[in-house]
Amino acid sequence: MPAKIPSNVSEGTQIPDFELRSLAGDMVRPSDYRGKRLVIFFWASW
Amino acid sequence: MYADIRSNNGDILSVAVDLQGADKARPYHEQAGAEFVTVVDEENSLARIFGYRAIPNGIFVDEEGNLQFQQYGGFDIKNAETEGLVSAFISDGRVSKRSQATFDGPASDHFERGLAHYQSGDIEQARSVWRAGIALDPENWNMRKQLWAVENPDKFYAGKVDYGWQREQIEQGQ
Repeated sequence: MPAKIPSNVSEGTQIPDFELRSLAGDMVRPSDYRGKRLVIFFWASW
Repeated sequence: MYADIRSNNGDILSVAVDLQGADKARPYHEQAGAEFVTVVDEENSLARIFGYRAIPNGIFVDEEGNLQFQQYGGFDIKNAETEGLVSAFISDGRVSKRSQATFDGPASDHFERGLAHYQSGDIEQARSVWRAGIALDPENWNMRKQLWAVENPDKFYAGKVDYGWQREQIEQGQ
C-alpha cells in the first residue's frame, strides 16, 4: 500500500490561483469568483 | 440546483480533466445542460498543484478565496449527500463533513512520463510507459483510464461511456 499523503492545500488558506481555458474559450481563474462562495468540481469524460 | 446556487451568490466551476481536450469534454457539458463554466485541464496540471491522482474531487472556496473543504475521490455531484453538502455551503458557508484531504502517495512517476510522450506525439511510447506504471501502481485511476481511452476510443467517445466494458477490464486485470 502506498503511503497516504496530504493535499498540497489546507483549510483556511488561499487556494492556488490556477488559470485554465474554458469551453467558451476564455481564460478562467478561481479569483474571478472572489466575493462568491465557489464549489470547484473535478471530473472527466472517462 | 444551479439557479439556487446563483441566487445565493454562489457559483460552480467545473474542471474537466481530459487530456484529449475540449472536444472530448464538451459533449458531457452540453448533455448535462450545464450553465456553469467548464474549464479543461488537458495537461493534468491541477493534479500536480493539489496532489491528487484520481477524480471526481470537490473543493469549496469562500468569498475571500480561502479553502473551506476538500474531498478527493467520490465527490459525485449527482449523489444526494454531495448535493446537500454543496447546498449547505452555498447558503451559509457551513460544511458539516470533515475534509478528505489525503490521497495515496504516487507509487511511480509513470503518469507524468507517459504524458510527456503522449504530448510529443509518441503514442506507442506513452502506452508502454503507462502500462508499466499501472503494473506498479494499480490504484492510479487517472493513468489506467487514460490508457484505456487512448487504446479504446470507441468505448469512450462514441455516445455513452461504456462502464460495463470498464468493469470487464477490471475483472480481466487490464
